[in-house]
This record gives sequence, structure tokens and C-alpha cells, in this order.
Amino acid sequence: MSRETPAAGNGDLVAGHALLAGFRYETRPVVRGYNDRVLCVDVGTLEISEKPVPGEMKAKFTGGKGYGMRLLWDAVKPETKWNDPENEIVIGMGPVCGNTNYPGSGKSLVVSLSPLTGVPIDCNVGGYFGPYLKFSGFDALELRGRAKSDVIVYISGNEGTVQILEAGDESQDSHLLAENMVEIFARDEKDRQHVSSVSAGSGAGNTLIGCLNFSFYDPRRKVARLKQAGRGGIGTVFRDKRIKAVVVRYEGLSSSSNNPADLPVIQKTGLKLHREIIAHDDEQCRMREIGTAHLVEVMNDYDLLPTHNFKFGSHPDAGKIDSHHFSAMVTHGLPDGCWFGCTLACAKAADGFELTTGPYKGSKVTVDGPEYETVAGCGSNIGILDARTVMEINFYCDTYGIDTISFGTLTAFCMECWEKGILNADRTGGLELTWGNSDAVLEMLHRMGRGEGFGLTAGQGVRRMKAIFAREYGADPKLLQDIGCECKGLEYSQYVSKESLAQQGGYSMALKGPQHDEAWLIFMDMVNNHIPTFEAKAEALYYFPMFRTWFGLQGLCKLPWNDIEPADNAGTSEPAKVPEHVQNYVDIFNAVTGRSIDKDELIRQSARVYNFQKVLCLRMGRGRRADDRPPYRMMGPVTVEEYESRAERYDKQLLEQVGFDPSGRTSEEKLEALRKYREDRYEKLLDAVYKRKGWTPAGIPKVETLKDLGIDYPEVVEVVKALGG
Amino acid sequence: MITVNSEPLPWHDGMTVRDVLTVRKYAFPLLIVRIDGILVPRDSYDSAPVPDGAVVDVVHLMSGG
Ligand code: SF4
Repeated sequence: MSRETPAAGNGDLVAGHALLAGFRYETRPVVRGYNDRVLCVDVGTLEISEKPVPGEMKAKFTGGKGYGMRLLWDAVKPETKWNDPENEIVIGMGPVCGNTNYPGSGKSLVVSLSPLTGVPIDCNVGGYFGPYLKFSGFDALELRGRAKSDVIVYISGNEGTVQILEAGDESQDSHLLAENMVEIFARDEKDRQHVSSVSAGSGAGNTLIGCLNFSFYDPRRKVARLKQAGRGGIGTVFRDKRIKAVVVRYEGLSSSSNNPADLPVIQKTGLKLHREIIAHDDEQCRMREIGTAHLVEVMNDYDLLPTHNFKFGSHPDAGKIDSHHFSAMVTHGLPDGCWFGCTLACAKAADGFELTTGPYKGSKVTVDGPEYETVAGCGSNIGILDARTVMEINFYCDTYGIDTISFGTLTAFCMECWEKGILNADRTGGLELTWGNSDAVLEMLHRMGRGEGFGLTAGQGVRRMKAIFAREYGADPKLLQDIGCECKGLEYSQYVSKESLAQQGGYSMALKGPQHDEAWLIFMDMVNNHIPTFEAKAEALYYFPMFRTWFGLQGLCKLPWNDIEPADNAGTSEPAKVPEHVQNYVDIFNAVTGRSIDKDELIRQSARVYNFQKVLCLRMGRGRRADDRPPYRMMGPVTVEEYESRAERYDKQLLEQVGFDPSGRTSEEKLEALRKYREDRYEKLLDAVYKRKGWTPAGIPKVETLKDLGIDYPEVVEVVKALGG
Repeated sequence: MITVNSEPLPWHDGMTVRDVLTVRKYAFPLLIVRIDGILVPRDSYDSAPVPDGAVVDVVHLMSGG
């Protein structure tokens, strides 16, 4: 292997950009899904290096998010803050990542200390960057340090070079920057598909809710499209490091680029799923038609669609933002996979969408999405029942590098504060944040993009706004706590969890904060009544978070697991787990790596990383029982208005479950009785889940749990022992 | 009277699985329906009869991000 690190500022130009540092590495093929090395780039010291992945790390952490957590632990100290140079952004892939034979195999896992929570956040994101980086020779990329001025990191995967370049005057906003990177680094028109970038727009640097945009070039639309690593503010960390873009160019992808141990098994398993999707998607979830937005009308029907800051679960005008309106806007008939080989193809996009506000007003653009979360968060939850406006918010959030979920939830909080007189035009700089005021919402978003006024305040997120409103406007902290829909500092994603205790737990016990990707149990709990006891709920809150963690270890998308199901799934013993697909995953993992795991070992792989992440949260001073408690808005009705809107339901529960006769009682008395009952049940749920996970009642993993999983490393045991684990 | 997911529901003559789904507003596409433990194929919801006193399980699977 040869290395060269040109002196910084030596006058060399790469694609018109001054070369600050360079590094050469030996290119070599992936072996059974792994490179066994990591690329480290310090944009502060301009050091670029590679390091081997120790056998122990590979065995215990598997890949993807597992590698991210291990590397992050080693990089930070208990006192490290999100904006310290040693905080890293780790992009990890996983052994299955880059496979083109099985749908949903192109995900990257991004890990960093979150500006919102102070603990590790992890995001699962599509686009071509991760797979191209993997086939360029690395299982993960560590980005650390803080540059003096904006830089671009460029990895030329076929040449085996990594360069840090001085950024130019390219626009920061991702829809332009991603195009720009393609223009700069692609050799010709045909080469554009070989270039993928990671970037964060102007809003990511002005707020704490910044997301990362991972690009993939769409040769039919002739545009660089974007997928988001949305949650927790990783885009904010990226901009704090003064990274403008990380770009990879790789050419030579094939169906065997992972050099799997048994390609025919992967092909056969993939073919089976392709056929299933083609045969059943139209009558099941219509993912190929409109993606996860198909859930809008379903959630509204089940009283689960967040409306007016999660007060209600449906809106009489929800039909105006149902999936059919978005289906009418997106372009059909194109293979919309965010990685090659994904027949589920849910990455929809509207083309020629004319913007009516902001710096790009009048431009016709391609808008990726919207996904369900965006429609609910930037639609019904803030009272906007207009599909076009949701699309425009979606576009600007993405290009500014702003997480649509946090944006929706924090805007809903601001609107309720407006309704209660906590906010007014003086305090918002003239923005009338009333339900459904799309002009005000878009203007607030543009102020985030420009870094101005109330855009800066709102961009701090719900938790910090609660403190500001109490301190500066004398608002009641208890009320703010009840209606501010965040937990651990992260804004809730977009499902009403009031009537499902298991989902309250699934949200609030999620290690990174309330994102539904650990467990989505509402139907199983609230509609099916299949997990009535605390023990049954705890079992579900053990299995599903563990199972879903596994996608992140491999570089897999979760959607082809249960957004499509085999024709005979109903006749299986555990249809909610989609057993045939679980077996597909076991088969694929074994066929890529040459190992021989079963479905129990799959769960153990996840449990190791899950518990390690939990201890990392504890090491950062969070992750205690108190951190797992939701705001009451996510558990039950906070206000008389909410109670009375569903009075029949709540009265019945008081009578039948609480043993409290509601007749002749005031709504306030009934609210109080219901709240006491629900809060008590939540504490019992915490007890049951912690026990099932092998944790103490304080939520600390026990040493024997860590031993059983083989992650009883001295530094890990030290953390839990100090906390009574 | 029948029982649907542990909750009572008034029965009427000629009631089909589709009627049950409509009354309960079960619009989600990934459903599994069992009547007294017997699986009802998805393509026969419109015609499958629900007898008085039946215990109907309408299992909603999961989907979404
Ligand atoms: S299902 Fe959708 S999000 Fe998942 S890999 Fe396929 S296109 Fe991407």
C-alpha cells in the first residue's frame, strides 16, 4: 500500500478547487460483504487515514450502525458535546449493503452525537453514497474535526484516492449542490450516475434540526435526487464541521460486487421477493404508486393521524391530503428505487413542480417524496390541508437540510403556543402561527434557511423552545411540558399514541428519542388487542426493537420486510413478524458472509448493538428511567377540548377500566382521573420492559445481560456498575 | 351480537366480512380475518358470511417507515 499526503495549500487544483490534503490507498475487492477497513477523515487537522476493523469488532458489532456506535464510543468522552471537534459523523454500511439482487439493500447508517439529545442518533438513509463508498474500499467513514472554512471531501473509489478540497462558491442548498457535485466530478453524461454526494443545506447550519441529503443521480429525469438522513440534527453537526459536501465516485457496480459466498441463493431469494411485489403490491400497500404516503388516509380512519399538535387523530378535511392527491402529482412509470434492484420502488418524485415562495420562487424543480411522516407532520398536524403546500414545504425542508418530522412537530407546538397566547406577532416577528396558515409556515421555514429571527428560535427544537418560552414569556412550564411533543430532546414522529400504551413505550423508550423505527405497535396493541398484558407488551417491545435494529446493522431498508407480504403469510403462526421474510434475511446474510446464523442469532446480533448503544447513552449522562417518560400529550388528553372531543371513549374507559364513575363529574375531574390511571400504567410498562430487556428498574443494563451478549468490555461494565447495573 | 377484536358488535342477517370491516372502519390493506379461528381468504371478504355469535379476529399487520 502506498500513501501520499500532499502538503496543504500547495497550489494544486482538483476540479477547480484548491487541494488541502490527499491520501492514496490500495483498492481491493470486497470479500463476502466486508472490506475490513475504515476511512478516517479529520477536516480540522487535514489528516486522512485508514484503519483495519479488528476481528472482535466485526464479530460483535456486525456492521452499519453497529460499527457506527463502536467507533463513536471510541471517539468521544463522557463530556463531549455535539459541536466538539471530536464528535464524529460515522457513515457505516454493513455486509449486505450494496447487494442489487434483493430489494432494499442499499442503505447507509449515519451515527453522531445529536445536537437535540446529546446522545447518539442513528439514521437509515438511501441514495448511492454508502454502497459506492463500500465498493470504493471501506465499511465505514469517520468524519471528525472542524475545518477553518468550508471543505469538500472527495473519494475517488476506482483510483483509490481521498482528497480534502477547499469549497468554492457553490450554493449550499442541496438541490443545487448535489447537481453541482455531479457536474464537477462526473467525467461525462454517462458518468453522472457514478457520483453521489452527502450535503446539508443552509438551514442545517442555522438550526439544530439539520438533516443530511444523500444523492442518487436519476438518468431518466436527468437530476440528482435526494434521500434524507433526517432525524436528530446530523446535518447540523456536518455544517458545524464546515463540511460542504462529501462526494464519492465509483464505477463498476455489478450484482456480485459484494463477492458473496453464495450468489445463487441471493439471486433466488431476491427473485422470489420481486415476484411477490409485482403480484401483490397493487392490492396491498401501493408502495410503487405512492410510497408510505398511502398511510395518510389509513391513519385518519383509525384516529391516528396527528392533527393540531397531536391533540386529535383525524381531521374532517384529511381527504385533501390523502395519497391520491400526491399520486396525481408524482411521475409514474419510472423505476423509483433509491438503490439498484429495489422493485418496491417507493422513492417517488414530482417533476416540474413550480415553487411559489422563497429564494427559488418560479423555478420548476423535482421534489422527492413526500413520505407519510412529511404529509402528517407538515400537513394535518399543523392544520395544512393542502397537498401542494405540503409538497412545497417538503422541497424547502430538503434543500435547506431541515428534518421534515422535527419541523412539523415543532411548528405544531408553536401553533398551540400561539393559540394559548404564549406566542404573538411581537414574539414571532410578525408570523401569525395559526393552524393552517401556510404563508406563515413557509416564511418561518425560509427564515430558518436565512438564519433570521423566529426561524432561529424555532430551529432550536421543542425542548429548548419550552425553556425559552417559560423563561422569557412566563409560560407555565408544566403546560409546556404536557404539550411539547419531544422526548429526550427529539421531536416525536407522526403517529398519535394516546390509545396504545405499547406505542407510548415504543416511542419513549427508543434509545435515540421518539422515532417509530424501533417499534410500531399501535395496531397490534390498540386495534387487534393482541398484547393485552404488560408482559405481552414487554415481549413485543423486546422483539420488534431488536429485529428492527438488525436492518441498520446490514445496510437494509425496513420497508420490504412488512410493507409487502407473501400470499400465504396469513396462515403462518406469527404473521406480524412476516416469517418468510425473516427467513429471507437470514438466508441473505448467510449467503453474503458465508456464515451460518439462524433467526435467534439475528436477534442476538441486534441485542449486542442495542445494549451497547444504551450504555453509550448512559455514558453521555442520559438514558435513565426519567428520560423514557413521554409528555402527557402522547399518553392522553391534556385539555378539556381534547377530552370532550372523544368523551364517549374516555368516559367508557373511566367506568370500565379505572373504576371511576364519570356521571356528574366535570371534565377537569375526569381528565385528572384518567391521567393518574394512564401515568401509573406507563410506569408499570417501564418495569415490565426493563425486566424483559435484562435491565434494572432504573433502566440500567445488568452486568449479566452484557456478559450474556459478550459485550462485557471493561469500559462498558464500568459505566453500568457505577449506576447499579 | 358478534365479537370483533374483543369488542361486541351488533349482528344483522346476511352480515359479511366486508360489512364488519366497513362498520369498524378497518380500511388498512394488510388484514388477516379469522372467524371462530378459521382464516378467511382476502378475496372472499365481500361474500364470506359472519354468523351470529361469531368471534371475529381482524388482525392488522404493520407497515410504514
Ligand atoms: S423500499 Fe423504498 S426506501 Fe426502501 S430501498 Fe426501496 S425505494 Fe428505497
